[in-house]
Amino acid sequence: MELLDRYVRVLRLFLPRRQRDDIVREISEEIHEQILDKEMTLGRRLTVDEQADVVGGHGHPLVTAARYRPQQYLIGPIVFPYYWIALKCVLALMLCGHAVSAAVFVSDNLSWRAAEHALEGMAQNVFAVVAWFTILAAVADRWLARSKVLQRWDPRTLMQPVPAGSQAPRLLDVSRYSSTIVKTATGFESPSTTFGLIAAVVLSGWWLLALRYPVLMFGPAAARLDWGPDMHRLYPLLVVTTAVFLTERVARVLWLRQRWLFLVTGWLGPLVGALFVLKVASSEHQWVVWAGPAMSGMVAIGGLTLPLLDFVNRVFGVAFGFAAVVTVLSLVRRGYQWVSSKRDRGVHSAPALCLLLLSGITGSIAHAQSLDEAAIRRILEERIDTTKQSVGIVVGIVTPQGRRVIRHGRFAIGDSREVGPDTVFEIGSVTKIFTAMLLADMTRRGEVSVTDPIVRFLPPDVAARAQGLKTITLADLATHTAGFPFWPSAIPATAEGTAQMASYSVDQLYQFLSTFEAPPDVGRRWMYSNTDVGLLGVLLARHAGSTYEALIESRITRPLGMTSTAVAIAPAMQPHLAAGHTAELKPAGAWNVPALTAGGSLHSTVNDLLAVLAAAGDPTTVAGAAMPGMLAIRRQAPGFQQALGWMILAAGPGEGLLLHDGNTLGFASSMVYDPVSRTGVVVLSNSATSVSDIARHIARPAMPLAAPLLPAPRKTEIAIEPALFDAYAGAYEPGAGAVFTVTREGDALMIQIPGIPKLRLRPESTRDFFVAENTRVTVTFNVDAAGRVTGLLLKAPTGNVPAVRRP
Amino acid sequence: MAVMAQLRTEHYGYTLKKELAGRGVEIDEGTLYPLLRRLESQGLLLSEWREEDKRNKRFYRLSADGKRVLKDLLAEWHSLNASVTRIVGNRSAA
Repeated sequence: MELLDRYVRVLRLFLPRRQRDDIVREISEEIHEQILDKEMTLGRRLTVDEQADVVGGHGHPLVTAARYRPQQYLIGPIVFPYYWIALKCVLALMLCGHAVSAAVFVSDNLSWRAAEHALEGMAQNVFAVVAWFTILAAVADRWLARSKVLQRWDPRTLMQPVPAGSQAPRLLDVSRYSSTIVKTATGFESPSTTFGLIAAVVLSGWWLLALRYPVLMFGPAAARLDWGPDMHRLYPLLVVTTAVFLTERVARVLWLRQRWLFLVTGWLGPLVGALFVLKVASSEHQWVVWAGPAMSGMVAIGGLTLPLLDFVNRVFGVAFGFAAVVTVLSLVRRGYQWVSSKRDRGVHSAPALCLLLLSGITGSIAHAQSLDEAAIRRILEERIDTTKQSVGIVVGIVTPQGRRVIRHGRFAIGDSREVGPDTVFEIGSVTKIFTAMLLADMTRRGEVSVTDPIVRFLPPDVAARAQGLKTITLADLATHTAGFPFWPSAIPATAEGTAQMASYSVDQLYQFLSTFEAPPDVGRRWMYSNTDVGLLGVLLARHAGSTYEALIESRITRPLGMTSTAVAIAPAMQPHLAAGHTAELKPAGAWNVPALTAGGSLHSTVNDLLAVLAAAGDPTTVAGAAMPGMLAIRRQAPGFQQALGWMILAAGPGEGLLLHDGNTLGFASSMVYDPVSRTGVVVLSNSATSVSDIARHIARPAMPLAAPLLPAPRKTEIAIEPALFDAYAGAYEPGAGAVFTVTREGDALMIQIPGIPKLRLRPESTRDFFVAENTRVTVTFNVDAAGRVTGLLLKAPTGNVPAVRRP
Repeated sequence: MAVMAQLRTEHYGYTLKKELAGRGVEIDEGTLYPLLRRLESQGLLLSEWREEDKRNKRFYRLSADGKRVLKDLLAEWHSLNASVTRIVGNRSAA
């Protein structure tokens, strides 16, 4: 009986869950009876062998259990042959593409490592393609099984030609070329529309995937090549074109007679086609760009020698030009057909409507792509003349086609000199981009590694004392995840611009480090800090045996031809230096933190910063070569990713933008770079009021400008018994896990808002407080009838934030 | 078809197998029991657990639907059989 138990226990495992108990009960009863029956006949108990015979007659548990289930296919016999052919075609195309580009690629002797890398990626791509095709085929199989398409057929419809009126024009007649290609490549004749459909699906799928995953097109060379901005602009159109084309094909093969379907494919097709032609005509032939270091390879055809990239772009240009011509021809044909078919019926409003729609779409697309100079000038005039937020603002824009500068305003209040592309501004924290670039450059040259612990670069005696810093790496400093406070503790937040900052020494910094205890979440928790990047500059300079300023000059500004970027104002820069103004447009002090220059002490001009942004897309320059390294490390921060220096905006209208803003006592700055379109924007202003919104709005018009501000209100501090402040001290929760901390520090009431330095609150009344540095920021405490403080309302130009006091 | 025909009278698995074997239709248990379940899920068989000889057994018999389907199947079978016999008969005569 033990055999029986073992058998049913195994069988149980594989049975359908719901019937499991019932089936097991039945089978064990039956076997039981069978055995008893045999024992009766034989008049003795069965031997183990005889028992095994009886149990064995019921079949292997796996086989028997499977018989209780319905037959299942992932991909049924109808779809399977198509699935198999499609898969073979796509894999063959992929391998051919890879082989060809690998051959081109390895002819460049520098590229073995990159080729290896890309080949590793190819395995994943093959896997992904197979997986997707399998999923698609399984879905198609389920659909075919459920729909009645294959039952409801009529032999008379099979090879019937499509009536001229309902035939959509072939934009890019993929099927004709593709069937030729498939025929030559595989030896298959493709007389049927069905096979045409498969070829079309395969090629369209590959083509669309290749636009998302360049490795499918370039093979190993994808480590160096990427689709350029023109291709990205064309992408949505190619998707629509392909969808229209495939819909039409499916409709023809399955012989669907829905009228609306042909209306859609018949009219959407020409519309998209016209847009396609416009896009190709207006393109700048940036189909393909370098994604990695440039290659030196040259291509010679017909006595003409071209750099490789130009050659590739010309090939694409010719192909798209050809497609555009075909589209124009088919549009003309379509129009002719339409006119001749409607002439009899006297309908003539539709083409006009279509043209109107078309011009509307093109117009709005052209408009959405960039702001014109007049619009930018209006923004500057509003900020300077109307709302008095600044005295002088210079905007610089760089695209692969060139640079533009738009400027408005003056060097200082009462100064007649106008600001311009060579005017010198404090760029504040935009300095951090230079420091991060320096780190990426030194890493690329193998001088340091971003994963090196920082104690390695400290003087030995400091390193010996700084036991709490062992877990912090250079990358943690550059990504603000080291856990250091905004300023080292010896610089109170209220001291900005005072002698305490100017006299703060590197020795004091070392002193601070030797007592600092790194938090356990180093590398994970983002907290913006001048200490981080300031210290990074100190360490890199120490390692190179130089000063931060000298390193920036020799590694970055001199190679890029930037003549007016420095910590100290050179004599040649002096005449161009603008004066700083507070948010209330009063004269502001200069930024002077000699121990932490790397965090925000550079001066620069729009021309110089445009030089950096222009170089960022060119891997042969120090800036372009440093970019991959700067973007390789990303740490999560609220609403964006923090790379080395650059902040990368998350999903939303600004998705993918790289940016950094800067603010000093009398200047504001913002630098934005779009790596896809290789467009950069710089905005420099000589007042402390932020200009970040202008830079973002220019880079992506969908990102809004800040609401117009009224001139900063004048506020007067009143005298309050400091003991009263104690009632307000405590933690306040604005939601989303953040905490505002209000503390009394001597006679001052302070508020700590995450991500920015501590602010001193000055009383305007017993409940209303303001921030002297920016009187637009106010805090009002809520007090209930019993006199208890229940919460606060923080008002700032960016919005009002209520916070509830933690009990 | 043979199973269905046999189930015009009520049986449980083991006696069914023995009866079929007695009439020359050998069918092993690993096939028979899943087949019974499938026929039941198609509504051709009815089943119930009942005690007999102090043991619980699952009894199967043909349902009303099952009887109709069996009749159709038998008719088809007879006509097919007749056709095959004619063809085979013609061949052997030739």
